[in-house]
Amino acid sequence: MKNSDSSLDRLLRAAGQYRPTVAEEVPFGFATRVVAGWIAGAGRERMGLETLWFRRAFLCAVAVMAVSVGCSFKTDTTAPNDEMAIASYAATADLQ
Amino acid sequence: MADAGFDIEACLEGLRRQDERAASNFVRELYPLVLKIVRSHLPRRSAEEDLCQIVFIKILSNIAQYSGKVPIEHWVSRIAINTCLNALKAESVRPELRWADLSVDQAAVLDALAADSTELGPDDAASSRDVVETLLRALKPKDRLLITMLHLEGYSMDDVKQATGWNIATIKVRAFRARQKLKQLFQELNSQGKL
Repeated sequence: MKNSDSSLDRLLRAAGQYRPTVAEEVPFGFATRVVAGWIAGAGRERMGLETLWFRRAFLCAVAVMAVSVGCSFKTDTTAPNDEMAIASYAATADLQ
Repeated sequence: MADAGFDIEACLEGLRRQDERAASNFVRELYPLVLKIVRSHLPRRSAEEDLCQIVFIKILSNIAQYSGKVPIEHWVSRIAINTCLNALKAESVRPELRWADLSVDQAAVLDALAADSTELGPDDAASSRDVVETLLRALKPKDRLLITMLHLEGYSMDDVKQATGWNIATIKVRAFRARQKLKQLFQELNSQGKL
């Protein structure tokens, strides 16, 4: 067990001595590709936000429309109670 | 890390305005740091240039989140390490270790270790690194990351804490377990060689 520990330690120490040469220079066109990817990503993000905003606005508009249609349907179909309204309702009904 | 002529504050200001020239300068300045990290933790089937590109796009896209409380190199390192870790996690297949798959040089290194208790020479460094990387591929991504940082790259516990955001106790426990697993794999490989 101890022998294997020592062998592993020696292996790790030898492996730790290895220093791959790191090129200091950026590969040709690399920076341009990164910048293009960044700008395109930012554009997509902006478009995503706009789409989200429009979707919310559309849903709000649909909700308002549904509520107003519901209210007007209720007003049109229920018979009024007070006398003036009954007269007005009858006159409207006669005209139709 | 950043050289004396490079004004990081002006560059960051430019990045916040989405200035492309500032972004190019930033990439050129920090490329060696990112490349070093990516090379140390590169998954088997990934190209280092592609992974570097992903790291830089991530950095530039999230530059607004950089508060300036830590040096930019630390922040960049953490993003690079997390990106590599995610790439390693995506590489779900961990190959089985077989003596027959080792190259002649790799087998010679293991034979030399078994033969005597002297240190391996600098000539064996590259082959030793290959053997260790072969062993590391069979470990979980976080274990692999820790062994690489602590034993191959010479990071201290504090450096690992800075780079990963894990606490010291977690690092110690995980490093111990990772080393135990590595030892087990090493023994299995050696026992195959003795057959």
